[in-house]
Amino acid sequence: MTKDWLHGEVLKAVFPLLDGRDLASCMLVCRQWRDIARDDYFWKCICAKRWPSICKRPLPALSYYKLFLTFSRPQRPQPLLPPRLSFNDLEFYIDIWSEQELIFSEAILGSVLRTGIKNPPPGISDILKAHLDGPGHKMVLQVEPRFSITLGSRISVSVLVGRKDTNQMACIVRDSDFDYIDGSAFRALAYAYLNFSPGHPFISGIRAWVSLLFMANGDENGNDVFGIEIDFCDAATKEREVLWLLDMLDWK
Amino acid sequence: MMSLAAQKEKKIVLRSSDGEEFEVEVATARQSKMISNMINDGCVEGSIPLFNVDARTLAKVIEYCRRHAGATRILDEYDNPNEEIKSWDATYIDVHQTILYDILQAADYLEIKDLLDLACEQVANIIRGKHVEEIRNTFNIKNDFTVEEEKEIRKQHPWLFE
Repeated sequence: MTKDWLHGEVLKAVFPLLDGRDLASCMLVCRQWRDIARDDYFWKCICAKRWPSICKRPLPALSYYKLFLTFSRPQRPQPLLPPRLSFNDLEFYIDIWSEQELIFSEAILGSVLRTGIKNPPPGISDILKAHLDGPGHKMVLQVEPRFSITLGSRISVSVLVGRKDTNQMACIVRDSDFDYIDGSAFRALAYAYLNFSPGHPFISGIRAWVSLLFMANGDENGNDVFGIEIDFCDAATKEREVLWLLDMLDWK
Repeated sequence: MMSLAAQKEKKIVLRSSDGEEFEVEVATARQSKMISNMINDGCVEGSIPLFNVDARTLAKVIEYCRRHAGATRILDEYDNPNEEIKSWDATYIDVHQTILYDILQAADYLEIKDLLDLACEQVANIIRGKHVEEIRNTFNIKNDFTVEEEKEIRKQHPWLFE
């Protein structure tokens, strides 16, 4: 039977009997069905059942159809929009002291940290190599020439960051000690809690981590540092996330 | 006691589009607003021709009207038809689509609101819970969206295609 048997008038009588999911299915059947089903009147009826109170006042611009589609089911996480900040705009100022003595001090372009260590030097531990090759965005700097630190002494770090797009500076790490030694991965870690702009209230507990990366051939007293890593693994593991996070800092 | 003539008066003859005649009680015929109006206007001499309803459909429609005329509506406390009628209706309307279509048309033409509602509800039942493709197959509808439109639709309603 090929009668056009569900003609418009029948559909108009049937659609008000359907719930939102079924009406949405009807909308996708063919053009005729879509043209009838997208009448916002049907959707208003459905929304009125779902949220009776919303029909008590005229709605802001949103159509009832959009309203239903958007809020009737759990919303999917939206992909992050492209960040305003780019690594090309960033420069990192890293200073490391052993006790009172400055042992490392460099201004590093964001693009350099972003590139990271393409070819890790021979002689690093497998665990550290796996860490560097692993997923997750890391900012890594190869230290040339390597410097040595003495375990047991107080090693501290400060990291400032500048951005060229707005000519501002922000603090990532004010003064933190490398007091956590990950012996199996040949890393020493320092962390500091990030300070965010007042434009982003209620956010706390996100840390910046700075790691010193050692060669595996260190002896009991000293370790050769061949790289420095900065990450925000508490909150941001992708490049886009890192840039969003940095953009939220308290820039001055 | 009603006279034989009076009883006879209480019958009305309906003629289907294919010429078959059905004798029905007035109360049954009055289920149709259209025929009820004709009775009120006194235009029911002889048989009433129904050009849009064939014999098979008319027999089916009369079955409905007879049942609903006979059962003086017993309403429950919420003003809904009682369970017995409801289950009778459900069995009655559980028919093949072609017949459902004919009933819809006839109920619309004869202005039998309850039957029209019942038929629409049945169409809604057929649609409920079906995927888009199933609805198209059920009603033999051709998908006339372009590939681009189809893509856009899937983007807007990803949950319908899970």
